[in-house]
Amino acid sequence: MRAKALLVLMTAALAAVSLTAQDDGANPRRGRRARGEGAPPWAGRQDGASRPTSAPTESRPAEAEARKSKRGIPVTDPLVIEKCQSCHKVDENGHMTRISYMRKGPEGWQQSLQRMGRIHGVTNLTLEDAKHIVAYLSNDHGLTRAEAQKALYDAERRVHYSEAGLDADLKATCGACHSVGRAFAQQRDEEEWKILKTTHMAMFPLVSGQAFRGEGRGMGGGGQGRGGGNGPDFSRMSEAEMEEFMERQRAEQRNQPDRADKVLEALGKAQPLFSADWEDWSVSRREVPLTGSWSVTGHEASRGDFLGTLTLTRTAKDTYTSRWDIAFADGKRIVRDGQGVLYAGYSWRGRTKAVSGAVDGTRELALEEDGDLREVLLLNEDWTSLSGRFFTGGYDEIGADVTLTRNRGTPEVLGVEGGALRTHADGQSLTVLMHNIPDDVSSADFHLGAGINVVAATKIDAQRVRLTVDVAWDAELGVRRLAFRASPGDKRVTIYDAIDYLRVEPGEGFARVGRDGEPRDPDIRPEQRERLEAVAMCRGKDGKPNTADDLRVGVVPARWSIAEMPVRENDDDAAYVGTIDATTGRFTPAMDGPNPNRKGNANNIGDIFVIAEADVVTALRPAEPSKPTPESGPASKPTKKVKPESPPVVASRTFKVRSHLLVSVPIFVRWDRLEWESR
Amino acid sequence: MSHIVPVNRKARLIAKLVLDAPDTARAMSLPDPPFGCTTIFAPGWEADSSGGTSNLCTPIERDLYDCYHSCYWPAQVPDALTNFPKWANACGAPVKDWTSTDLVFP
Repeated sequence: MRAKALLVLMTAALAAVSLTAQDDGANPRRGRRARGEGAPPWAGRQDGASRPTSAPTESRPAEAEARKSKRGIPVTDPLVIEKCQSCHKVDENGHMTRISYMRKGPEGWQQSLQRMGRIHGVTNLTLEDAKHIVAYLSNDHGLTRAEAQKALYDAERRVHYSEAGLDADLKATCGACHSVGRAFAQQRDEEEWKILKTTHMAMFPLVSGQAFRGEGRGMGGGGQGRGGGNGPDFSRMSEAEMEEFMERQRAEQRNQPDRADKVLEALGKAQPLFSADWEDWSVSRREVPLTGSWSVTGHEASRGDFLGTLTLTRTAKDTYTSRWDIAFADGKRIVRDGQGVLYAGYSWRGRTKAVSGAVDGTRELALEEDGDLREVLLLNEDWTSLSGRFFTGGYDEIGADVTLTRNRGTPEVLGVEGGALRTHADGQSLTVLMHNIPDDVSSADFHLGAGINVVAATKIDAQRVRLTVDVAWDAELGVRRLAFRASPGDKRVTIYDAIDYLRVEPGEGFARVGRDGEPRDPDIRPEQRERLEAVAMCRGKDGKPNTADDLRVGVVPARWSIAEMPVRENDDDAAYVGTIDATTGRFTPAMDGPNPNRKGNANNIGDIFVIAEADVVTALRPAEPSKPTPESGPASKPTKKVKPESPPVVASRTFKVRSHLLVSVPIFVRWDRLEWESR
Repeated sequence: MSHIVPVNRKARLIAKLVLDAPDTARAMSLPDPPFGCTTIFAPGWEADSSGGTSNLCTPIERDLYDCYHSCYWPAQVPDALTNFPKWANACGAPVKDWTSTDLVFP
């Protein structure tokens, strides 16, 4: 602990030095001294909040000139001009400093506005003003659809989403504290990207020694607590050696761009203020009409698939009331009423409350939540579909994926229940979700490609058609489209031959201890829960399990339990971290706070295994042929597939799988509280 | 690991654990750590550098003020410097009940 405190002090000293060197005026201490009590931050500064105060005066006219010619987005909203101009100067082109040179999604603008209130003393706004400003900026200084789509997972508050393919420096610089999606939700000119670094360093000085440092440079590496990593060992240094080390570090920081500089330069090129896409959108934009009936399909983890309808009614520009009427596969019906706003012509942000079907105060499931449920949806290019996520919970972790399809009066496939068919089996049942199902619907309307024969189609209800399907023994394994009449279709069906193993989703479970107060107190942060599902998997065409071509057959019911994951002697986490529901796979973490019953008053945190056991009916694979001996000739020659004499034996097999669940400590800050959304 | 032979009780225990769970996935070693889980391990907020929780500060409340005053965990703990200078005012004993403090909602 002492070593850490020392490290912290030194890093802070470093950060202070770099701040002095590059102070952009965003340092609140300087700001307060400069402007005096009561005045708005940086009041009287003629060149905007972002200019270096320590820059030599002779360079200022040139800088001002350069800025004047810089292209930005003029601010036209009188309220934004009135409320923001005391700090953000308006020039003759209608450009306001900073505001005109960046574009963001609604969440990004909300964060900026809330920061103005939190740090810069902006108090002269009503809630309505703030909402108006966020809406104006999100529309006129917002993102295009493609840009919003790239960052959608951040707005959707997903806990599990793969950023695996992203640049390592980008992930290390931005992703250490928040998802990279937050960076994707912004477009700025090059100068504004660079200013982002100084803003971070002013607000969070230690980032210069943490996420912003380059590989092998700056303070410490991983595992300081155990003396690991590539950092210096201060405990073995004399004072003079430490001094020398610090001086070396400072010199290095002064002379070299760090990782953040590199990343921001790349972002400046990849996410510029102006793009062809943006210019196209800003000239052709109009209010996108959403009023009407939409069909709903979706899935809530540990609850199942749901199907239903949504009715949207316009109440004002870009504003709607909504009524959701949905039912789960087991017949449980839920009706929710709400309202929503469409920002920038694409981004739906809504909120609903249950009218019926809710389970009072359970907090077990998103769609059965009786309280507020927020919606983040993105409209597609054709304005025919919205997709995204509903969510609730202390960390927005409980949610459901949802897709809406605009009902235009013509028959359309919305999805496929289950969505998997087995090879070499006749008479399989496949339920297709549709709207406007024609009365004369027949098997000839549906096509699933070679080797699959739809023999019958029966309309079950207004949104379901049951197909009877024969699948040939040699039908190609993989995922294929379900075509309906003249439409090629974009809904997929998986063709598999047998189930080879189970997988737990999410693969890396994550929960936080918290406080579950009843009645719920909005100021007390509840725990972060985890919802786990067992998924049946097929090994795919290559015949090897756990490879990229494996096929996801579907969610199967499982028996759930937890077990200790031993990482230290006498590890006892499983007894404290929480409980899992044996049938649904819902994990509820324990209470927060030090636990006097644990060694060192430890919190109820730990690593455990989650074990899922499922009985799955599957085709049994015939015994694998023994490997060819060298005498039997070259083995590489592909052998022609021979039709088996009879269909494979189908039987119930029990699969067991375990995965890791990390139950950790709370976060003590709530950055994303969306008060402005509570209309 | 075949060239390393455990010679004492603890080493044998570790070897057994490793052999018992050869394919166990570890936190943060996967390409997709959960969001909200920091990747700074000094010693780490949600997970330590091994991906577990055994090397974290225990209990977390013991470290909370230190992290607050030093602004060490910018996304996890309110910072005393810029964003939440008054966070600690309302609370005398966060070890007993941090939840009754002003919870810094922006």
